[in-house]
Amino acid sequence: MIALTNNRPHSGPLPQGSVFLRFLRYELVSGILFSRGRLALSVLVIVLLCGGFMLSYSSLVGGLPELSGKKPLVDFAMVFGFLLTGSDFYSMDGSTPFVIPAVWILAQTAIAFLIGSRVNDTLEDQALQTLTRVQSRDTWWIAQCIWVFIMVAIFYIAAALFAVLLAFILTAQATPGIELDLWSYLTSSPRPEGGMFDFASLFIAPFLLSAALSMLQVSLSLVIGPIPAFLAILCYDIASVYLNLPFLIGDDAMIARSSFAHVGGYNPLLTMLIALLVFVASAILGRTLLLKKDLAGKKGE
Amino acid sequence: MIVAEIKRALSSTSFLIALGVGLLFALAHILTVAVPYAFDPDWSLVQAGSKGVYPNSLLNSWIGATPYALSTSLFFFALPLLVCLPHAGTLYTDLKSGFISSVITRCSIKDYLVAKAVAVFLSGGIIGIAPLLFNFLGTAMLLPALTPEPAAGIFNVPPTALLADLFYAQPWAYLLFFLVFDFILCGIIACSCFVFSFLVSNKFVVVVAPFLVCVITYFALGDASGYSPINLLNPSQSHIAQLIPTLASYVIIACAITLFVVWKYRRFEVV
Repeated sequence: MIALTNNRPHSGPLPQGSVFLRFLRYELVSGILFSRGRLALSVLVIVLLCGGFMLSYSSLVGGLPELSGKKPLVDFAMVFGFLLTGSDFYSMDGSTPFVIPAVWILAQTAIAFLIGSRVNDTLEDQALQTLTRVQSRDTWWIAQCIWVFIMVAIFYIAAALFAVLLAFILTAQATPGIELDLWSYLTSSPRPEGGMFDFASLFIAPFLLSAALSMLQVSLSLVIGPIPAFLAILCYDIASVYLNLPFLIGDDAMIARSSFAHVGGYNPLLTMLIALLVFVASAILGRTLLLKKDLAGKKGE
Repeated sequence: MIVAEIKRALSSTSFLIALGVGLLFALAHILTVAVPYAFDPDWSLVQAGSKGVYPNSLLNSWIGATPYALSTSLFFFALPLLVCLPHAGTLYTDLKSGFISSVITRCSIKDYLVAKAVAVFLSGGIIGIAPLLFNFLGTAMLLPALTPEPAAGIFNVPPTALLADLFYAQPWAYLLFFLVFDFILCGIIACSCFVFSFLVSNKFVVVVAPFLVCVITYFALGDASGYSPINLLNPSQSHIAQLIPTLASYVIIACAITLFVVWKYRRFEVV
């Protein structure tokens, strides 16, 4: 197990940069790999994200309109881009006005659970020991932010790789010659001219949203504790499912439904900007709170 | 010992916070559902003596009868976590901090665990039904209790629902059953934290694990998700569940928790 102890002999204190790198490596490895429970839950998150994609794709293909009596071709880029839906796709009609995106909620709950359990370790139980070793709250906080970002990125990269694999298989089975503008079909808006950048943004947007909410959860944990912060993030996610309001950014991860309700269709750039803003604001707020947090007093409770 | 533990549970800040959050959901429901229903134009027609109008009333407007409302969904989704917040994690903290060593010099470990179980069960039950009662009484101040009429098509208890026949024949007995059932179920959920207190070494996991189990069973069990606590706690269940299997499964779960804790306490040693 990687420890924060220095195994090599040295004279005098280590430079702060070296401590940071060592601490970051410790955070990344002990955050998931050395906890069997968290490792299992991480696998579950990836399975859920991939499962959500498969369910959405299967619903979409089943609901696609037939053109000239045949199922249309859904090209590689479109299938690849379909990961953006982030939730169970469904055809909205009079008998099915609303479907709870169960897989999306499960995946977000599992991510929030992972974040909360780790925060409980680092910022509550082992806070004093960690601070003694790292010696700088700034270093500690930056490592936390990077850990959150990388952990969420791993989940979404794994799901994206799965989508690419599936895209290769599925596009080979489509009827050639009849194409459907899936972008317009999904987002109810004209296909933009941005090309691959738009597809890339659609991949990045759900990931950034998850990362922003995770960062917000870590910062909230410093104020109200890990469990209430977990509850707050979950209520926010559930509210996102039910309401279409601009500040409920969780809803933008479910573009298949958001596009029905958002005036002018879905805008991934705006979503990414809001998510980045929330991530940075949470990181700055968390740093300020950590600098003022009474870790010794907390330990005594 | 029991009185001391109950006092400790019911006077804690986390108990007040959990109760406050539950009451907040209940109040939000009154403001967003019951108040608009109270000013529904249908009531003017009833007051004017029109026949054939069946407006929304108490038994289809309180938080336990409106599964489509956001406040209802949030409340019943968060409830398994709220009931664990006040006192369920204290067995873990007592074990970890060594507080239990001091306690068992004054009483036996058995007495301590019984007192802890009673306090956790009561605190969980109170957190579970206090917001329901508050919402029911609040809604009753705004809307009259019309007798449920299946032909009206506005009551969210389908014929396949748990005790649906009782709801349409004896609605007050149906309500009483669910209040008692919710109290017991919330108590069992809170007590299930005891199992995790012995299995994991992270307070967050101990308190949140029962909630995670409830969420997974609700969303991932398909047709069997009717037996998830999130569905059963809500009197207007979204998924179908049968009475006997429901009662049997929760009796088995309660027995399993008790047996696990008994097994652990027989091997308990103070280090």
